[in-house]
Amino acid sequence: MPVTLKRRYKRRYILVLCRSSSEELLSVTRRKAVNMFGYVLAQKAYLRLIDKIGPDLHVIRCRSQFLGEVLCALALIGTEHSAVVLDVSGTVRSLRSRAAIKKTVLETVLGTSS
Amino acid sequence: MGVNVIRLLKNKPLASTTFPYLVASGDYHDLASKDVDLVEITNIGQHFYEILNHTHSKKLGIEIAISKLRATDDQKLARNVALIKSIHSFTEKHGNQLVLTSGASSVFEMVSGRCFDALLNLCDIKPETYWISLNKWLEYKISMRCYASDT
Repeated sequence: MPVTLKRRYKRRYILVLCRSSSEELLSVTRRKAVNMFGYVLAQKAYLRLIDKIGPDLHVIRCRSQFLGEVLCALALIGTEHSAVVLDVSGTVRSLRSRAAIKKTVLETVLGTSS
Repeated sequence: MGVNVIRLLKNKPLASTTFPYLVASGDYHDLASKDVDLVEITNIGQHFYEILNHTHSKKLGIEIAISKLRATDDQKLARNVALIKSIHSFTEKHGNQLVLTSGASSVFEMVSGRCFDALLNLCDIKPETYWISLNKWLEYKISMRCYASDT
């Protein structure tokens, strides 16, 4: 199990594009993870909402050990809350700097100014 | 000739084209057809295996869209994950190719590469071998056709 020197579990920060609110996205992801992998794994994954960048970009955190399961849950969320994983990072700082670039690209693709 | 974009056509064009293309069908009875490159599977049943078993068409793409998996309930989803695994081994055995697609109709339905890898791992398919075999299959399908020159 990957543990840092501070004896803290390694985390992964995920940048998600989703039209739903952050709270809704988190609850839907948790529900999907529970349905797919069970309550124990969903609890161990330690899903948390970290930040919101603009109206559609959300940053969520999970334990690196369960990143694959969380990504599966995010990819298979129902069509009404469909989420796109744009980036995954080990630190929230690097994710934020990369998110700024992705945000401008998205604005041109979606034709919105958020 | 730009090969980054491969068009999906419903019917085989009568004349040679300037762009690479694949002939796709949504009807799994087209598995036996020689003109079709890619068949999307929406409903997997025993009948599908029987047709695939008897088809002489090698190097056929069997497409499964993630948007279809999203629409199913969780019990069916678990069954479909198990079926994708068996379809993958089945297609490998018969010289065909499993093609996992997003089936997206908007930006919000797209699936990232990391998610594809996670889903492949969930289906017990090694992502590296899957992408290599998909690349080889695409190269084979594109190189088999004659294209008209742009100039």
